[in-house]
This record gives sequence, structure tokens and C-alpha cells, in this order.
Amino acid sequence: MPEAIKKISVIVFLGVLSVLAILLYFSFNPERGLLFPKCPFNTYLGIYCSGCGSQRAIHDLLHLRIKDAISHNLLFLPAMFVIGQHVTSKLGILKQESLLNHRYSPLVILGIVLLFMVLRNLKGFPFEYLAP
Amino acid sequence: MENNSNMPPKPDNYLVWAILSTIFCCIATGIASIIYASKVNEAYARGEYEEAQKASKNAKMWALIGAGLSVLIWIIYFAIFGFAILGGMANAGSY
Repeated sequence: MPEAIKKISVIVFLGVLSVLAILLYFSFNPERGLLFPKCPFNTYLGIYCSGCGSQRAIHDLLHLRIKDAISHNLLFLPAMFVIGQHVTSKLGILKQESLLNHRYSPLVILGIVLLFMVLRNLKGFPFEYLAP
Repeated sequence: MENNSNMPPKPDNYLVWAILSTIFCCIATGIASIIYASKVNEAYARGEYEEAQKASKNAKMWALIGAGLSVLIWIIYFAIFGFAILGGMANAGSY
């Protein structure tokens, strides 16, 4: 298969999948019901991982409830911003280089993810706001 | 990069997939991907192209494992609960 056709079919496939996912997460609230998978990490280990709350954050965001999205997962919005910046930069829409191309991006992200995971599992005043 | 002008371009480190995997699926595969992504950058910066390429392959593998696992979890989950819920919704008429 020529490279261009392969590329287009991947984009179309991902596009259709995203539209379906958006419709699903817009229509149903992951907080209620059993329709959405629970985080396996949380179910079996009882620890909040850095991704916990992101399904609820998607639902909140699609209903433009920014505050709820932040309270369910503080890192979700920044992550979406970084990914959006990367994609638009790669497609040439944005004339700025992708933030993810920096040499230390992976290490910085690793640090943030691990720190967030530790902090949101702590009990007490400022940390309980980080829990999903 | 700096000292080696005839080096091929940096292999992909699949960092976007690593982030997506961390947020939407599995912290373990996500972190593995992120670590390999940083290995790609470090090896490339040291001028070790083959090492960077190896890390890139590993990063890709973990990205694919993360994506595959999340789809799998979704399908299994939906197979177990989805139909019961849809049935319940049809019966109750409200959700």
C-alpha cells in the first residue's frame, strides 16, 4: 500500500474513533453507571494513578465545566494543551516548534507524572484536592 | 546534534503516545514509554545513533502495548457490562 494512502486511512480511522468516543463521553457521565471501565490500577491496588479521573474530566470538558475537569484531574487540561500544541505544530498549522521535541521533555513529564501520583494519594489539606 | 553534523535525524520517541497512554490507560505502560522516550533523546544527544534507534523501537512497542491494552480493557469491559446496561436502559426507559 502506498505510504500516502496508509497515512490517510490511519487518520480517518483515528478520526472516526475519536468522534465516536466524544459522542459517548458527551452523552454519558462516567461517574454514574457501570458503562465506563474503572482504572485497573485503582481497583486492584487502591492507589490513584496520574490518569485517574481523566474519563470524568473528558465528560466535564465536553460540557464546558472547566472547574470540574480540573478537580477530577489537574493534569488533564495541560496534557490536552501540550498534545494539541504538538499536533498543530507537526501539521504545520502552528509555526512554533513542538514542546515535546525538547531534549528534556520526557524527563520533565516523567517527573510531573510521578510527583502528581504521589501527591494525590496523600491525606490532608492541600492534597485532597488533587484526588479525583 | 552538536558535534556530529552527518548524523541522521533523531528517531521518533513516541512521547505523545506515552502521554496518551498514561492519561487514558495504564500508568505502567505509559511510564515505560516515557522512559524509553527519554532514552531516545539522551542517546541521540550523546551521538549514539544505534542506541537511540533501539530505544525508539522499545518506545514504539510500549506505545502499542498501551494502546492495545486500553482497547482490550474497553472491549472486555463493554462485553461484560455494556449489554447488561443497555438491556437495563431499554427496560427502565430512563438513565
